[in-house]
This record gives sequence, C-alpha cells and structure tokens, in this order.
Amino acid sequence: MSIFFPMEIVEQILCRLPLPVTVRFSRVCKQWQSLIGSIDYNPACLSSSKSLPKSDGLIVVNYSSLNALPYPVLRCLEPGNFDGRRARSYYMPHQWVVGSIHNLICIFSLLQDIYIWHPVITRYIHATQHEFTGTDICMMILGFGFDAVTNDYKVVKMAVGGGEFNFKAQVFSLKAGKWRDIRGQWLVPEGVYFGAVATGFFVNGAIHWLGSRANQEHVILTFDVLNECFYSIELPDALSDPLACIFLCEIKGSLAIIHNDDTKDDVPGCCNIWEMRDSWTKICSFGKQETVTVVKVLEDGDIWFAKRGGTCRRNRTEIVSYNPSSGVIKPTGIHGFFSALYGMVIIPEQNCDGESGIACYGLN
Amino acid sequence: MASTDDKVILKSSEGECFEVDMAVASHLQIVKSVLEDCEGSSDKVVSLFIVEAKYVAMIIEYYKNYVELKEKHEEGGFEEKLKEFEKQFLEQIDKKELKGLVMAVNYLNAPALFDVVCTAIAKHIENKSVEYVREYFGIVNDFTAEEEAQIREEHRWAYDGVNDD
Repeated sequence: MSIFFPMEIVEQILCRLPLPVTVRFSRVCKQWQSLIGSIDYNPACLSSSKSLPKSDGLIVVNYSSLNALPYPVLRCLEPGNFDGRRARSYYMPHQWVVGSIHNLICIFSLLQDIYIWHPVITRYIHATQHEFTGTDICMMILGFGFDAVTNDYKVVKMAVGGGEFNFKAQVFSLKAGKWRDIRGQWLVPEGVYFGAVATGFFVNGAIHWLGSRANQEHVILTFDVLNECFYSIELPDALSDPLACIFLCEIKGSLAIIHNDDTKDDVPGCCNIWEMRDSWTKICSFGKQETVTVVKVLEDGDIWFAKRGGTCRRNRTEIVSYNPSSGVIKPTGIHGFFSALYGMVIIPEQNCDGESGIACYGLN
Repeated sequence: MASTDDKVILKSSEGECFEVDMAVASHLQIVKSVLEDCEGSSDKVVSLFIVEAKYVAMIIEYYKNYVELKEKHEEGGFEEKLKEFEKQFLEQIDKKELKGLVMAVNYLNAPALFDVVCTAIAKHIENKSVEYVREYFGIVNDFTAEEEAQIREEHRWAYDGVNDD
C-alpha cells in the first residue's frame, strides 16, 4: 500500500471532527489548511458542528477586491442570486449578529438559538437551546466576549421578563460547550430599557450595552467576561442626555463613544468622540454634513462612517473613511444596506481565494 | 446452504485467495461492478491488486458479521447490534492499521465500513497534537515557523485539552 494518503479520505476524516479540532489541524500543512477552508461539510455526519441551515430572510455577508481597487469592495447580494459557499456570502433570516471576535461570529436567531460561526471554514457550533422558565421575555440582552485568562469564548444572554422586571442571565462557554446560570452579585439598574433584542459591544475583556433609564437617560450596562458579573457605567451629562445620538465603539483597546450632535437646528452637526479610560474624556470633535453612523474606528485612528444615500441607491449606504486629524474623507468602496452595516470581520487573506477580504454583515 | 454459484474469490495483492459469499462481497461496490462487467463468465475471481491480505480479511470479517446481524435482527435491533460488533471489531485493529484499512475500503468502495473507519480515525486524532497528526499521516510540515506561530495565534482557542503524544 502506498504511503501517500489521499486527500479525499483526509476530507472525510476531518468533516467528522468538531470545529475546534479542525481549526487546530489547519496548522498540519498547507494542503490541509486549504482543504479545511474549502470542505463541503455534510451536516448528516457532523454532530457538534454543521454548516448553517439555509433559509429565506436575510443577513448578507460579502467581501471582495474586484476591479483592482486599492481597497476592498463589499457587495450585498440579492436573495436568490448567490452561491453561499463559493462567494462566501450568507443570507440568513431574522438573525442578529451578537458580535465577532477573532474571526468567529456569534449569531442569534429569532428562534432563540445561538450559533458561533466561523465564516472562513463555514462551520458553526450551535449553543443548544436552553430555557428561561417562568418569565414572559420582553427583552433579550446578548453579548459575545473573549476571556483571555481562561482562553475561552463566552456568550452571555440575559432575559428580562415583563411585570416584575425579572432578570435571568446565563453564560455559554465555548470550551465547556454548555450554558450555566449566573448567580451572585450582579445588579442591573432597575427600569433600564435596551430594546427587544440588544447586542453588546465587546472591548477589553468586557461586553457593553447601551440602555436607557425610565427618564430616558443613557446608561451603559457592562458584563465582565472573566468574573461573569454585571455592573453599570454612568455617562457624563452630554452623553446621558436622552436626545444625544450615541454609539459605542472601540479606540485602541478602550471603550469609546461616538456622539453625533445634531441638536442645534441652525448649526451643522458635529461629531464628538469620547474615550473611557479612568473617566470619560472627549478626545476629538469635528463637523459633519450628513447623517452618518460610525461603523468602526480603525487602528490608525481613521473612522469608518456609514453614509446614507449619496452615490448609492436609496436606502443604501456607503462607507467612508474619515481621518480626524487631517479632516480628509475618502470613499472605501464598501456599500451595503443602511441598517445592515453591523460590524466587520477580517477574513485571512489566504482563505479568500487569493483575494484579501473584509466581510461585513448585518441585519436587514 | 449457498451453492458455489453464490461464492466469489477475492485475491489480495500477495495473491492470497479468499472465498466469500456473494451476499458479503456485494457490499464491495468494486467487486459488484467487476462481476457485472464479466457476467456470464465462469471466472469468479476478483483481483484486488493493491489490497493486502490482512485488510481483505478485516473487510470480509466486517461484512460477514454485517450480513449475519442483518438477517438475525430483521425485525429491529440491527443497528444496536452492529454498533456493538463495530466496537469489538475496531478494538482488535492497530491504530496504524486503520490508515491502511481506510485506503483499502476506499478503493473497494464499501460505504458502511468506510464511515466506521473514518469515524474511528477521527476519534483517534481528535485530542492529539498537530505534531502527532503529522507523524501519523506521514506529513511534512511546510509552514515556516512564523506562519505556524501566526496560525496558532489566530486559533488559540482551539488548542485546549490536547494530548502531547
């Protein structure tokens, strides 16, 4: 018998392994790495990980670097016109992206299932359904975080019931592969509202949600991923103001807030960036002409805004890159649904059929 | 009793001959198609050029039991009994032999056993290190140290609970 071991058999063996194991084995050799990136996993022979179920509805994910442009172009594919695996575009119904860390994306579906999905190797782990009993859930607070101490990924889910404002929280550990209840000291400020489904923003070991008190003032609820406890962060008056239009973001490893100040009708709006180190500090401020949403603050300090309309079709959005120190605004070539621009995940170059890529995903 | 018409002879790479019931041999797609090709011919010998005798014996043992269990448990319980047998069957096979067996089974195109052996190999390597897997499959690491460190860093979370052997 020849010593040469056929890749078709390797593929059959690998597709019978759980996701973390396959990911680990992409280090075996280049051939295995490229195989693991392209395997068409057969859901029937997998138990803990499968490719995501197909359905109608929508999240669109895409990346590409077409037209030899010096920047990635993001295309949103229309329903019925995509080849999910080949184009690495995904279309999912009624689902929220909870967050993304290290190329893993956490997805929450309206059926209350949670998936931790790896878009590069197109496999996912299903955080099995778990019950919150005795509560009519009226708010669902979700977050995806990474615990660098135990080297574990965690999903936190808190259900808020009607009537008595009954909070229940659970954590899913990717390592343990199961949910557990959170007990002990974790007080959520009473009467804080987050919206029907609130997804948190992970930065520096903690997940943050922006909520409103009964008097509509903004407040941040924070979950410490290592110690698994909740606490709240107060905001300065300018930001807690119910009329302040604010977004959470990350600047160089710290929690930051983008504040779109459009309160004065006769003055063009301005955008303020606040950073939380020991306390909240306004680090920069600049004028802006149009309605924008901050998508991401990049490592080099450039800010990516989602700009409604513009050269794109109605209800479409273009992402522009803004340099706060020079004031220069550049197009990034990325387009998408306005409400769909939710976050980004960088896909490693070698796994993008030779194209370097960035994926953007969101909710329609 | 089955007549000699229902028998077929499988010949290993060393030339060793195994007389097998057709009911057993028909699970090997390659044997089935060879026999269909030379239908009407009295020659019922199929040469399995690249398969060593020890693997031919293992494959016959598996499908002999498979056929017997299926007959015995027609009314149910077949799958459980088969699982029990598969466990015993795999216990007596050396881990290194699994590789040869899976290649033989792949060549003979025998889906049920292929699934069993692939699952066994997957289980065997599941908690093993990358280094072990390379050695097991005889793979040369073609990553540079930097590339490897980078991949490892990206996939840090996947490295827990790994044995070093």
